[in-house]
Amino acid sequence: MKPLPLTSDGASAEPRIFHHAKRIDHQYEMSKTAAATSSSPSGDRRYGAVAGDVAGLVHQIRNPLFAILGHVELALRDAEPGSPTEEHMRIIQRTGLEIKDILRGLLHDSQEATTGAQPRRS
Amino acid sequence: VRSRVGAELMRIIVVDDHESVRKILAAILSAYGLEVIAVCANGREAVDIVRDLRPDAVVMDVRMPVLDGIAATRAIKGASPETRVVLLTAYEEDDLRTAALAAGADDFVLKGVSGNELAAVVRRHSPWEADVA
Repeated sequence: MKPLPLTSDGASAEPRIFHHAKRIDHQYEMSKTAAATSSSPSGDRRYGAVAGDVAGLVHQIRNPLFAILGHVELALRDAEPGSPTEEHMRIIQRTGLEIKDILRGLLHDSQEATTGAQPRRS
Repeated sequence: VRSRVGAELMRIIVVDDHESVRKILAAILSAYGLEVIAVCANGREAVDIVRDLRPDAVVMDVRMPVLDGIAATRAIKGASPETRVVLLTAYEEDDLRTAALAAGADDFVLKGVSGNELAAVVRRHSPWEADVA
């Protein structure tokens, strides 16, 4: 089966959020290296700022994910038990919960990175 | 504590700057037996509507433009002390929880909760809770 293009512009055009995620991932790796190889405060600050970007991205994704999981929960209430629709809904729900776990892990890592690079807020 | 009359439902106002979240919150709370009487896109709108409608509870996001959920909670509690405020957030930060409770919020819930759990939290603050128990 051919993969579906992500946007109407074809495979070369990615959704904006992917660009955002790639940029943050790149910055995160760069700043992590800088923080690891330098004890300078600027490296630490940059590392912390990128970790903050990751946290912001996680929170942005959580809102639509919350909406998706909410709609699935309601749809499951109406779905006939054992029907294909119910099975599809359960798969969407499981996948959504997996994404939720991934985001939680990502947030945890970024928070650890921030507290590792900067003094913890009192 | 008000006395319960017939099958009266808890009257709720939903506040969130994301339209998709507003819609699902209203749908979930309604599906679990609560009456959503208004939806708002920011804290300022919520404070104004609370003054007019005196809801039993407000389910409100924390981070919003114009007036955030913490400041709105303070204003709502000043204008309508009997209205319960349940703050909802995508942010897992202890500082935020502390600020929410200090502002007078009655509960603080993460957006990761299921609809069923959210409805249960809101219902916990029903003015008829004493009658129901």
